[in-house]
Amino acid sequence: MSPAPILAAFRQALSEAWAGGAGALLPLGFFAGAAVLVPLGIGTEPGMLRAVGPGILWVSLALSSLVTLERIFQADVEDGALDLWLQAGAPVSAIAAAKTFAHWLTAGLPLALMSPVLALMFQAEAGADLLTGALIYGLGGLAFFFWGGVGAALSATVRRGGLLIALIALPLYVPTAIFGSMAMSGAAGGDSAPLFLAASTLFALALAPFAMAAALRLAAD
Amino acid sequence: MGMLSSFANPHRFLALSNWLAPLFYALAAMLIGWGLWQGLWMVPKDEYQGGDIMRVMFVHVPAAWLAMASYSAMAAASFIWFVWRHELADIAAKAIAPLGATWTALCLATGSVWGKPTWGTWWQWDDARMMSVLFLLFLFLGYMALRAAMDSRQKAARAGAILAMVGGLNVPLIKFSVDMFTSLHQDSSVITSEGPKMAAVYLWPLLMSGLGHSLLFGALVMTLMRAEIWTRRAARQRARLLAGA
Amino acid sequence: MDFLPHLDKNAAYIWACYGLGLVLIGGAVIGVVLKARAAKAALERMNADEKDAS
Repeated sequence: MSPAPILAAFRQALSEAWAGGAGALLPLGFFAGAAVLVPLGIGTEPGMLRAVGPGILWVSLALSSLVTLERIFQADVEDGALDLWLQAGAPVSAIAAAKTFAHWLTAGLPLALMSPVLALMFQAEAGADLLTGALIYGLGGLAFFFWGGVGAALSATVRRGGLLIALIALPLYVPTAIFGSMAMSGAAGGDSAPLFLAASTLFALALAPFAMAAALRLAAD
Repeated sequence: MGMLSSFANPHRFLALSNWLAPLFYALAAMLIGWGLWQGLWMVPKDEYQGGDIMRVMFVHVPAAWLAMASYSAMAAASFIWFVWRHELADIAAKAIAPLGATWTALCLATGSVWGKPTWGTWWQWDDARMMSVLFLLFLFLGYMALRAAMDSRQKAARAGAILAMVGGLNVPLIKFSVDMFTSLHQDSSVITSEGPKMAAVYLWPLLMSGLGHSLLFGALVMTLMRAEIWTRRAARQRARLLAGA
Repeated sequence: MDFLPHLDKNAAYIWACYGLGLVLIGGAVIGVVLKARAAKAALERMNADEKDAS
């Protein structure tokens, strides 16, 4: 077993997601949408914005994952590359994980890194909390992408499978959304919430690649 | 193992369900009928629980039990199919899904209607059970949509099994997170379906209704499985006819 | 209508719930039984066709 196919899958997914610079527009688009459209839509009262800001960013993160995922495996099914990946001599679960990770790097991580800016625009207090916030969004986004990847792999052969991916992924996103927002709001369960978030992300990282692999084998048949 | 082979062998299953399903229907009708009679006429009203509205629990609570239990059954059947490839297990999972979705929808709808006079809203984000059941509905619908989107029966079985198992493993985590979420946000006292301690006069009709619903569910699953077995047989025969001709 | 139970102010909600139960569960029963009948009939038709063809 050589790591070469896994790295190749990672690099290919990264370049696909980046798409010559166009890939950067997606996270920026969601960021801009959240930062600009939401206050226009719901009003500018600072107390309210401070309360809803973290939640808005979680929603942006979830939506950005759903949008990119549709393409992560379907392109390979369409051009027959999937068969090559399955015969590449590396565990399919690792290849699937590499691709998913690459998409998170392009669409999920930038949002997490930009989250302090968004938080400030949503009237959060400036401080170290913003940095831990970025870490929380990073962890949560990873879970979103990996669970969403399971939906994407299962829907890889379905034309316009985006809605199906969303339907599959939504229940799986719930624990991350809950633990993540609890971690951000620092409510009564605030101390343990980041730990639960990390645990549920690890659970996703451990389980999702195998489900993706099974689904990809199915898609190739 | 002899009994278990009824579950692996479609012929044996058809023979078993031929008498078991009607029996379940009959028992269910009696139990549900008795539960209805008790719930609507006989059982005294409890002002602490909001008066007559708590009679709704005789529909809502069995529906909730079935929603949860049927998803577990679907996940278990999917796992059995995934490991042992008994076609009957896949047929069972496929049959459970729409029925589970129906009872889940009933639980949500009756919960909502119960909530309006009790809490003042049609939907209560504070209630952990309603939230969990809502996500359960999505899991059922996603399963059905995924199976329907696949090209062949085999692919539908495989895709469904993967999703049901992933969903099944996530259900405890979802419930746990929802419980945490609602325990933080609870502002008003939640009127639980069971009250501080349920008196026998309420408990018996509730349990009997629950049993009746379960038997009805089982009978319906068996009937749907029979329909699926016949449909697959007809399809195989059609294929043989076309191939042989 | 005296045989109907006498319910308090929330009667409409209570009837709505039992009505939902009747509609959804009754609908499920009807749907399932019809589907089983149709499948059985289709299989028998197929058997008859096969018999005629052979």
